[in-house]
Order: sequence, then structure tokens, then C-alpha cells
Amino acid sequence: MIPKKLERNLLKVQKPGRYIGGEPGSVHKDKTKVDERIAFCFPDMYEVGMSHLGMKILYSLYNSRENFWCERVFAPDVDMEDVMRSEGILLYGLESFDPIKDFDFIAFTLQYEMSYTGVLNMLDLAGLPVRASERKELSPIVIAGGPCACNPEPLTAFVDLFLIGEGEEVNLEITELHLKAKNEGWSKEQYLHEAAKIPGVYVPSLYDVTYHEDGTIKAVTPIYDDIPEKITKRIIVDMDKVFYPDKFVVPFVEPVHDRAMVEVLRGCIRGCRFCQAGFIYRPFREKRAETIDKCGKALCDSTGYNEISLTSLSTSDLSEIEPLLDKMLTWSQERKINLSLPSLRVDNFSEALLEKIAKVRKSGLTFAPEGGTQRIRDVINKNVSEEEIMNTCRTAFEGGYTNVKLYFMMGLPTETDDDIRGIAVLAQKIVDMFYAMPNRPKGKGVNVSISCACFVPKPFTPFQFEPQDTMEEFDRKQKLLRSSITTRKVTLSCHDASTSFVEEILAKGDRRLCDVVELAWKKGSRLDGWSEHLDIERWTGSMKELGLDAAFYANRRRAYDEIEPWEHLDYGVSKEFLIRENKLAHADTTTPNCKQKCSACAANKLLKGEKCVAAKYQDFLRENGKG
Amino acid sequence: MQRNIRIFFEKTGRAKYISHLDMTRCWTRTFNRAGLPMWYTEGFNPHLYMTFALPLSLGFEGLCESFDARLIADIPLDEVKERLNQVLPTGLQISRVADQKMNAREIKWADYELCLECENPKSVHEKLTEFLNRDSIVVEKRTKKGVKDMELNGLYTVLESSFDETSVLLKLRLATGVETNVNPMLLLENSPVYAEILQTSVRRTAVLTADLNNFE
Ligand code: SF4
Repeated sequence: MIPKKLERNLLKVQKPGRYIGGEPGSVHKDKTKVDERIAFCFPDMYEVGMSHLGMKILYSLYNSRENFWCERVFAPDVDMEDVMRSEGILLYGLESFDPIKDFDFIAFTLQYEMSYTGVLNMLDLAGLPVRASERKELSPIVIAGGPCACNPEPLTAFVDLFLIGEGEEVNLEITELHLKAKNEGWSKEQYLHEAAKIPGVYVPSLYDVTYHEDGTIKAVTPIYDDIPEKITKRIIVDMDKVFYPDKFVVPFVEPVHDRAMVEVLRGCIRGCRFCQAGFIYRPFREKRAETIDKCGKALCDSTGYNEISLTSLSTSDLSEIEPLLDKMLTWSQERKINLSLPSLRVDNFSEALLEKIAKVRKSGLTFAPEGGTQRIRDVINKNVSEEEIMNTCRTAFEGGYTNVKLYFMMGLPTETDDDIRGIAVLAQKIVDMFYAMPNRPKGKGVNVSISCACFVPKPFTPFQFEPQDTMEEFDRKQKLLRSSITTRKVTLSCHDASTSFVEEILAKGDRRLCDVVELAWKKGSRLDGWSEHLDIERWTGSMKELGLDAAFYANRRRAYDEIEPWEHLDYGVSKEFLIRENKLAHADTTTPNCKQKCSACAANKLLKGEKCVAAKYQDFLRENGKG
Repeated sequence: MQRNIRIFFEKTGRAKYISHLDMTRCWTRTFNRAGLPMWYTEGFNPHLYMTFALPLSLGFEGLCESFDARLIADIPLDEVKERLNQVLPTGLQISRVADQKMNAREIKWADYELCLECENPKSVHEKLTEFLNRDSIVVEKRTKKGVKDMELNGLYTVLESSFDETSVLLKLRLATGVETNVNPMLLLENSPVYAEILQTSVRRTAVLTADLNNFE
């Protein structure tokens, strides 16, 4: 039953369906019969959070345990927040409507830096102090994971415990420990100390940070000798055996991605030097076609979705991609289910593959060359040649497509104005090729749309040492690019540089930024991932008020031997490897992908003796008679 | 094999916050989950064919809602009902699956139960009774062509009215259908007691033809 106070206000807000739960696939339990209650919070709105695969996996995983009950919580839209604050409605779990402040865990997933103030706002809406030190009880413990947890320092004042790496095992381990703590009457401190001994658990309050006079970090030291100096991320070694939900919550209100999703692989073989995901999820591990097909079919049956996407960082790198598509097409076409492959790469987009997906997908195509010239693509190790880009576009045009969308970045290390102009030149070449094709789709014009992002150098990438371009420089480059485009067949959209600036500060920030995050939140920052809610002044103003220099964080080259704020976390890839890669970038030199050759990034140590990608791929080739 | 069917369902509880637009997606997936083969429209963007006789406003409950769809396999209608009910979310439930006996144009009336929570039910009830007994109630109605005046007298009947400690209870029969459509909120918003109402719960309990038979 919907509580009265809530019910009275639901028709006053936009899309009340976001606040009532009860969707097919949502899990309801008897609260008197469960031991641990988990509020899984996504610090953004329902539509965004409900599109997120990691949340679906962990929701099902927790609920697969009879004595755990996990509920979903999303950030309310501004109108709902007003109602909640004025009516005194505390943030609640969508399944039970119970206030989450009474739960055992409040778990956040950190997908992007711009959601950090959303975390604080949700804690506040829950009726809890935002600062971890002011929450004294054993419950709730506030935890966080996800890609941004690879540099969690700007949130260390608010979150009790971070989970480093993949959550399928460690989430359950810390929950079981919490149950033990409750049964034995431990204090919160006692629990956190014990939890910190579990691999993959980072309890920031148990680590001291000291600084040099110039503001860089001197040392990060654990305050107990029985907790690790470096926290190594957790991974699942055998992706074929990992837990995967056979049910999803199927939302009523349409989310951004409204479809079934099946994860096909983790990690990436590519090593594009700008891409954080490409490094922090190493090593590459894939599922067998058979596993994926079974999972996908089960999900379509249980959810009733008409679309299923094969999700990963680079789905076409799946060794068994073609047999997989063959298998899936046998049942999906007949049942009018669309297969979608959201992350296709330009270079291995074969004709056979295109033909297979063309059967089910008719919208435009997107590619991400990322850089406009061959030189800059070599710098960022985006191993795709102009010829490959042109060939792929030609194949697409021949297949009847007339819209292509190309993603680029600006502000890349070593970038010159020629590289910026090169983006426009490349787009023009694609337009020219279209009109030179005798067999082009008749009666239609071509549209090449370019989306250009501002580069945000991220931790655990070879570019972590690099300064970000200043806002002035981004502005100049955007103007240069705009003026280099001379045809209406090419449309350009550029990302807002100020967002990227804040992202960079937070991505590479240290603990001193906690105060900035708190002040920006107090000034009204929340839902900053939405441009209509973002006010950059709140961030720059907070930095100034607190006497912190934004350029120190964003626009400074960091020495190889500087201790980075995240260096006490170990994501597998070694710093030596990152330095090697950084030097190669400055020499315009590429690195082969993991299937071609191992570059000794050190992530193989996470596999506990199992073979890593390069060796495994050799086995695969032998088995399939191609080696 | 194709068979036109009419599905009668209840929409109550949490489900009343599912908007009409979201309902079509919800039903498509329900049919898929139930493994029922349904007819899809042809063309560029095929979708499961579905027509609703009388969309329900967001926030209203309904006990005899219906929509039409087309089954493309020979499955007994009782089985269709069972299979759908097994996979529907709480708040949505099928009461009957049948052939389409009538045309949706035959719908002329609908009955509503209204529960109006207020501080002073006795006086609200008094004022409301006076209002509903007036010889003429002219209201502004927004249509696609703009705002126009509408005489409500003759378009509604009060079937029952009472009050208890917390609320006024009202049963209304309102003109409904393709030509004239009176939403109970239209009547309420124009009443002198609208500002005093803390919370309105509305439930559509019957959909009727001109001679007051159930729409089938
Ligand atoms: S150890 Fe070698 S094969 Fe494995 S992820 Fe690193 S570079 Fe790739």
C-alpha cells in the first residue's frame, strides 16, 4: 500500500510512475523474515538508473539470497524533491515504501562524477547526516562502487566503505559480515575494521593522507597494520559461471534504454589510451555464445521485451560473435525481437556482420574514430585507419543507411589545430564518397553528424598524467572546428566544456575536494548530469571559497613519480605500464591489442594463474583451426 | 488464424499511476511474457495492435476497463485470461476475455465512485449536494479547438451521496463516449468545495451503453 502522505501528493508531480515501484519483476519480501535490508541507490533519476545494467545484476544477486532484501532507490526529480521536503516524506525504497535510513546498507553506484552531489542529496533526503563521521550506528552503512570508485577520494567524507572492482562476490561478503556484526553487537568502527580486511574493500577513514608543501600527496597510510596498504580490485575470473539475472524489473515509465540486456564480455582488449573503462575493467573475459544465447532467451521470456542488446565495451570483439548472432537470430526474428549491438567498432565491422544486424536494425549507424587525423589516432591508440572508416561508411551506405554519426574528442594530448581541422576534413570525405557512389541510396541526401566531446583525462589511464585543456582553449578549438565545416551535410554538436572541467577536477581530485562537493551541494547542486540543472558557478564558487585551485587539479601535468590520490588502489594495470604507454603516445606510437600481443599491463595477476587474453586467444585460434 | 478479442481488466492500487501511454508498452510485454502470439501492425515500425475503448485518466482506478487486440493462434479465451493474469503486475487483472460484441461508439455513460477526503465532510457534502442540484452548471472545457462553454446539466446523474468522519462519498453517472465526455474532475473542479478537498480517489465502476447495459 502506498503511504497516505505520498499518495496525496503523487498527482502533483510529473510522471508519478517513477515513485511507486510495483513493476513486473520487482522483488517483494516479508520484512520480518529478512536479516539484511539493502537500499540500492542510483544517484540520478529513475529513467537513467533503470537503464543501468550493473544495478539490475546486483539487485537480483542480493535478492537471490533468501534472507537479504534489496530495494531500488532513485533521485527524485526537482518537483518531487520539493514535495518530499515540504511534506516530510523521507527517501524510501520503491518496493516497501519504508524509509531507507532504517535499512542496513545504503549502496550507491558511481557511474559519473556529475552525480556526486546527488549522493549527498539522497542521504539528506533520507534524513541522515551526509558526513560518515556523524553517522555513529552500525546501520545503515553507506557503501559505494562502480567505475568512479577507482578514485573515490572526493567522496571519502561521506561514504563509509567503497567496493573496488566487480561486486558479485564482495557485496555478499560484506553483507554477511554485517549480519554477524549485528548478531554479536559490534560497533560501527569494529565492523569497518573487519570489513577492511576483505579483499576489494576500501574503508577511507582507516587511511591517513599527508601532503607535501606544494599540495601534492606525500603518503597514504593505513592506521592499522592488519589492513592492506594497497587495496586490490576484485574480479570474476570465470565469466561463464558468474551470476546473471534471469529476470529484470520492467519499468512502466520509459527509461533511457528500455530493453533487455545481456552482458557478453567484460574488459576490453583494445587499450585506447583515453578510455578509463578500457583499463579499469581489465583483463578481457568473455562468455561463450551458448551461455549468452541462453541468458538472452530467458530474459526475453521473463521480461517480454521486444529488444535485446548485447552489452559490453566492444561487442564485436567477442570471439564467437558470428555464431552468437546466428543462434540468436533463429528465435529473435520470429518473435519480433530486435537485436541491438550498441558498441560496434569501425575496424572489425565485417560485411557478414553488417548483413546480420541489418536484418533487425534499421536506425542510423554510429562510429567513434575519436580523432580526426591518423597521427592523433595513433597517439590515443585508436587503431583504426581512415581507409577502414571509409570502408565501413561505404558498406553502411550500400546497406541503405544515409545517416552516420561520428564521435570525436578534442583536447587530446599532443593535439594541434591540424588535428581539429582533420575532423572536418574526414567528415567532408565521407560526404564526398557518398555522392561519388553510383549505387548510393537514391532520392536521399546524406547526413554526417559529428559529436565532439571535451577530453577528460582519467585515473588509471596512460593519460592520467596529462593536463586538461583550459576552458579558453576548448572554446577556441570549438570555434576552429565549427569554422572548418563548410557543408550543411555535416552537422556538429560540441559538448559543454565547463561540465568536462568539473568532471576532471572530481575525477583526479583528492580528499580535500570533499568540502567542495559538500559546499556545491549546499549551494543547490544535484542532478548535475542534466544540463538544465547544472550551474557551473556552484562548483567554481565553492572551489574559490574554500581556497582550492581548480587548475592544480585539472590543468597541471603530473610527474610520473608524483603519488596520485588513487595510488593506494590497485586495478591490476601497473603504473609502469601506464608510464610506458604515456611515453609511446608522445612518440605517436601504437600498441597492439591484447589478442595480438600481450603488453604486460600486469592485469593478468588478477586471474589467479588462469591464462590471460593473448594466450587464450591463441588457444581459440588453434581450436577453430585458424592458428 | 486471426481472432479479434476484447480484454476486460481492472486497474487498481499502484497501477493507477501507470499513464495511458505506458499502458500500451506494459500490455505488449505482458502478451510477450504470456507467450501469446498477437497481431502486429505492418510497416516501418511494427507494434502490437491494441485499441482502448476509453482511456482512463492518470490516477483513476477502473473496474471494467477494456481494449481490443487480435490473437493469431487458436487459443481458448479462458486460457488467454489465465496466462495473462499469471504475468501481470499487481494492480492489473483480467476479468474477462471475449469476442467483440459491441462497437466502442455505443458507449454513452460511465459510473464513477468518488471518495473526497476533507476536514469537514458534513458541510462539504451539503454544499456539494446544493451544487449538483442546480438547474444549470456551465463550465469551460478545453478542447483541441480552444476553450468552449459546456452545459453539464443533463450530462450527469447523482446515483448516491453520503459522508462519514473523513470523507464525502459520491456515485456519479457521467456522459461518456466519442461525442461527449465528462470527466468527474471537471465537475469537481467547478464546484464550490474544490479547495476544501484534501485528496480525491476516483474509481470507474461501469461503462454503459445508451440503454444502460454493460459495454461488451
Ligand atoms: S596482461 Fe597482457 S593480455 Fe592480459 S590484459 Fe594485460 S596486456 Fe592484455
